[in-house]
Amino acid sequence: MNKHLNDIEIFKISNQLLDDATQLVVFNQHLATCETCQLKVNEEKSFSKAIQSNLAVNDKIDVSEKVLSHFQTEIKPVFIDLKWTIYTSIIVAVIYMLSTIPNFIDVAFPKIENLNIFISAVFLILMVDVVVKYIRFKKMVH
Amino acid sequence: MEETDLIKGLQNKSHSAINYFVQLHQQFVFVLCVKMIHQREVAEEITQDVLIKCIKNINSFEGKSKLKTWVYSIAHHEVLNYLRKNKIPTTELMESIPIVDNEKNILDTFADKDMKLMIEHFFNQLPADQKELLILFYLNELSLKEIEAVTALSAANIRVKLFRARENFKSLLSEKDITLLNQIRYE
Repeated sequence: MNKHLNDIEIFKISNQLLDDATQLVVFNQHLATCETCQLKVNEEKSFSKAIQSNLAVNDKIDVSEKVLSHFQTEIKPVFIDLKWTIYTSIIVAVIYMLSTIPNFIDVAFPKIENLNIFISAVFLILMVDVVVKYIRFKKMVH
Repeated sequence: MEETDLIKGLQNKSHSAINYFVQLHQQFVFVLCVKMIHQREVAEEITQDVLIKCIKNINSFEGKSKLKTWVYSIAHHEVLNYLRKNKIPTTELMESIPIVDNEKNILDTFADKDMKLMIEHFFNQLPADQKELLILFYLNELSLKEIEAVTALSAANIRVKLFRARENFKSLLSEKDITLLNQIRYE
């Protein structure tokens, strides 16, 4: 490539706006040998930096409080929702049924060792969940 | 926080998600608004409106682009609406600004710190669409693809428009007049 790069080509290569790889290679080869175009590219890069530094906005804002307060009225903190109550009730009912089956069905039901410990563990998990939900609820309220 | 978690949080209107979303996006939306509108209070108000609108409409975010790009496109429309409502021209005004070949002087202008005010003044004289492209590209450092998604222009069109915007800005700067600087100072 013997002829000089035109203004728009200088602009594109300086600001990395070229998406054609072949063109990029050709331009770079030309720039390696042409001082005039190299100078123009450097000037263009300086111009870009100058735009960035001179027009930069140093003023910082924080609108988070205002945005949050806008949603304050819409957000209704929920301690325990309906879904949780239904699922928990089902789990408790199933556990109770399982524990009572051997009493009224006279079959060789597989005996679960330490059934009380198992049931207590499940209840403990449910209670921990309730506490976690309460803490989250408190955080949302305040 | 991952983008998917953030979106879920916003859908549930979680406080922490809203706060994180605002902290993440407020500054770059503000930069666009303040540079386009030139009034800090109005720019802050529009920034706030843009973020509220984004949170309210988070369910319409399809995930085709990055969340940041989507927020930007909403900001872009809000700013244009404001400019139209207030009858501030949004299309090209200067068709025939002569292209100058005096880059050295322009770089000197930038180097002079006293000229910052004047540079800002000349930047404000650019048509809104050109200004927006310069802000997106130079100040907020968006990629070509991101600008495409925000402005709905093609990549080729953006390249040409960016070039013209930059040439117009350069031409305006090269026509600088010291009396104008004094005028701005005593306004």
